[in-house]
Formats: sequence, C-alpha cells, structure tokens
Amino acid sequence: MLPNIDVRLRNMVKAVQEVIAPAIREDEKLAQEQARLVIGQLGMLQEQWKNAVRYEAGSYRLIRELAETLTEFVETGQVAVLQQALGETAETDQLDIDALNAGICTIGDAIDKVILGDDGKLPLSREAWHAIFDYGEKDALRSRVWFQGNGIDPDRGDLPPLEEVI
Amino acid sequence: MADPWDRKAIDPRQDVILERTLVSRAKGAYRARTGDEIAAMLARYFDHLDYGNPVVSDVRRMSGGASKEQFIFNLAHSGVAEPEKLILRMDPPEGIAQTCRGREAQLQNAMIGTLPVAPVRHVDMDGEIMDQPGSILEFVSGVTEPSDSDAHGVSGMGSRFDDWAPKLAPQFVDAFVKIHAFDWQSADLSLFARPQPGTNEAPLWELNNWAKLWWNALVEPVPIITLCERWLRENMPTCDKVVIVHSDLRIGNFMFEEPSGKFTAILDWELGHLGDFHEDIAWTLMRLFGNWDDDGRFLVSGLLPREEFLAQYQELSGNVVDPKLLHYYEVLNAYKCASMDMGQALRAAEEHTNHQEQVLTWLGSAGGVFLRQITMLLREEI
Repeated sequence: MLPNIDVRLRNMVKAVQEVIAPAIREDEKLAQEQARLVIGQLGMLQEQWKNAVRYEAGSYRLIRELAETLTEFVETGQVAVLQQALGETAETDQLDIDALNAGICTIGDAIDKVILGDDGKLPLSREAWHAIFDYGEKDALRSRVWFQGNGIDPDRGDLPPLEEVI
Repeated sequence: MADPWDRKAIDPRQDVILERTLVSRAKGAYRARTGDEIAAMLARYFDHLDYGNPVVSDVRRMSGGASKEQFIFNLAHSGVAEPEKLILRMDPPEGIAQTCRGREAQLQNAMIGTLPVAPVRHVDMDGEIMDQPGSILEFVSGVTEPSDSDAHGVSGMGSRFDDWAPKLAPQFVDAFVKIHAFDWQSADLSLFARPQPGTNEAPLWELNNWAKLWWNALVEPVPIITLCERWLRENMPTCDKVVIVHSDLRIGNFMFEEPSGKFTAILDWELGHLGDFHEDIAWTLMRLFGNWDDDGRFLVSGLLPREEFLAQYQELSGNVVDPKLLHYYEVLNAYKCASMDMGQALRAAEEHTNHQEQVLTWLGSAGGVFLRQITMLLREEI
C-alpha cells in the first residue's frame, strides 16, 4: 500500500513532536501531557500493528484451550456451558480481529460462569484452579510483553521477546 | 458473620455512586468543558454560595490524576483584599474509579491538623449547582516528583526520587501511622457506613464495591480476575480494628516542597474508607507503585525497601502486621487495580465519557502486571 502504515504513524509522531507540542503554551499542563501520550501511543502502535491479528489469535487459542481443559474438571452442567461456547466459536475466522475478540468474549463469559459456580454454590476443583492459574500466567506474560512500550511495568527488563509468547 | 457472597452488602453512599455511573454512561459521550465554560459555572456557583461580587479569572486545566478534571483559578470577592488561588476538582461522567466528592471532602477536612492536606472549602457532591459533582479546594504548593528528575510518570507511576528518598521516606511512613491512629469516631464522617469490628463487613463492602464496578464495566472477560473474586469471597477475614484507610497513599499522591522535601499535602483521598490498616499497607507495597534503585533494591513507592517500610511502620504505629491478613489485602488490592485498569478505565475510554481517555487506555495497558501479581499471590494458596 502507498503510503504504508509505518510511514503514516512516523509522520504523526513527527507532527506532534515538532509542530503541535511546541505550540502548546507552557501553562497548559494537561495539553502537554496529552501530546506526550499521543507520541507514546503512536510509538506503541508502530510496534504492535503488524502483529495485532496474530496476538489476538493467540489470545483466542489460549482461552479456547482453557475452556477445553476445564471441561475435564467441572460438573456436567458446567461442561455443557463450556461446550456450547466452544461450539458457537469453533468456526471463528483467524484473520478477523473483531471476530477473534468476539470469540474470546463468548468463551470468557462461559468460563466466568463456571468459575463463579452460581456464586460459590458449585465447587471448583483444585485442578480447575490450577488450569486457570496456568492460563493466567501465560495471559499475563503476553499482555506485559505486548504493552511493555508503556514503560509502566517495573519488571519489563526481564521480559522475553514477543515472538516467544505471541 | 455476613455471607461473603452477599453482593448487596455495600457502603450505601458508594452504591449510589456506582448506580449513578450507569445513568451517566447512558447519556453518551462527554466533551470536556472549556476554560470559559468553567469560569462561568464557577461564577454561578460562588454567587449561589453568597460570595459578594465573585469574579473568577485565570482558569487553567491541571495535569495529573487519572480520573478527575482539575482546574486552578483565581477568585476575587468582597471578602478578600487579594484574589484567592483555588482548585476545582470535578467528576467527568466516568473515570478510572467512581467515587464521591463529599466523602473525599469529609476525610480530607477531618485530617486538617493531623496531616498536611488541602482543605476542601465547598462540595457539590451531586452536581446540583455545578452540573457535575465537584469540590473547591484551597491551593497548596509543592511537587509530586522532583523537578530536576528526567523520569516523569503517569499518575506518579514511573517517577523516581533518587537522592530525595531519605528526606521523603520518614514522612511517608509517618503519614500511614497518623492516618491509622486517627480518632475517626469523633470526626464528621456521616457519608461513610461504619463496619462493625470483629466482623467481615469491612472487606465485604470493599470487595462488593470493586466487584460491582468490574461487572458493570466489563469490556472483555478475564478469567483470573473472576477467579480472584471467588478466592476473596471464600477466604474473607474479619476486621478486628477499624481505622481510616486512605487507600491510595503511594508514589504520586504526596506533594512536597523543594529543596526541603517537606510534605505539603497528602493527595487523593477519593478511595478512602473505614477498614483494616493492612489494606493501606498492602496497597503501597504493590509492584506497580515501586521501582528499582541503582543498587538493585526494589523500593516501595520509590522510597525504601519493603522490609524497612514494614519494620518502620510497625515500630512507629504499634500495629502488628499479620502476614496472612497482609496477603489477603495484597490480593484484594491487585483485584481492585485490575478492576479499575482493565474494567472501569477501558469502559470509560470505549464510551468516551472521560476528558483524558488516553490516560485511561495507557493505564489499562498495565493490566498484565496485576494479572501476574494475582496469579502469583493465589498460587501460593491453592
């Protein structure tokens, strides 16, 4: 495509840095902060956009795997809830980021129901807890790697490359 | 003991705020008001309060904070020879947290004489005159991060204190000690429900507040957050001693003067409530609010190592930190942060109901840090 997305993002950063930010009055603190955040967000988008669909597809696969695993450790009625969500999302287009997100939400809603177990009336086995921990560790790591450009994570120096977790 | 799954057990005023959030959200996108609009609103407000000949000038937006709109302005009126410098702190329809300006004002004013705080002069907690809930505070000078530092954070996170830490750390610990020793029963805290000591009311009300915020805001399900809620309900402790909990005393929420380093104000009392002191201690220990020094030590709120912080707090307060309770509140606080960052903040950003949605999505992108923390803390238990 001409012009390509990287060029346009870089142009936007340059425009904010060299034209917009210097034009903001010294006493306009909020506007200054917003300009800095625009530069920061565009910087993160530059790093992310080429892998965004792959990242969301990875999130979809992970939550789907968790739902499948949980079917082995929960009661019959809860298995049905999970299987219905898995069935509804089985044909999700892996190249459509909105469809992937919708699939994540459908499966996630079913998992939430299982975890809450009718507000604690249904037990949650130790195996189920640990399956969710395993998922949670992977999910948290992926999220921290994906958003490390925000500079907030105090342990970002220990993070692996994106390719290892995507 | 209350049923830990009773979701209706919640501080009544806080519940009003959460219900009001849904009404505000339904009204659609929010456009931040201009300085001229704010000046006109303030003139109307001070006129309503019977200030003689009020004239509002030099209205300027302030940065900082992740949820409230803040403006600095001058107010001239017949009662003063020189214009007064004041702060307007106002609620957009939605922010990272949904809180009550009236409760905040009660806590802040109760602390006058105990800790440095900005006195709250007026409150319109339901926006009856201002059209949005807001409060008027007296101006206090100071900085939240050293002005000679290159490290600037969002809402304080990412700031560094370096050589300032020895001056600031003792005052930081002292603030916790004074808050937790405060005789709140004699103060006007009429907007706060009072949990009974020896029951689970304090943690239950707090959990229900954040769980309701999460479920009302839900953008995308996050299994570990739901699992965390279950654990918090199934392991809920009692609170034997009820104290004021600031709830957000950390890097970015205290102001000091340069070059002395003397504290000029403890900021952001909006999350304050009555509860267990462990909740405050656990909050400030959160990894997101700390950073590493050049010697490789992780510093609580960028000021001092965890063990030093805990030792000094216990020595000065006489309160004994119970590791089991501290752990519970570390989990609850990680849950709160996740509920704010990955729920309420992102919902407000999606609905365009805030004045600085970029800050909300920026903070929301830190959600993975809390998910990691929750998983690590809970794995120790199961």
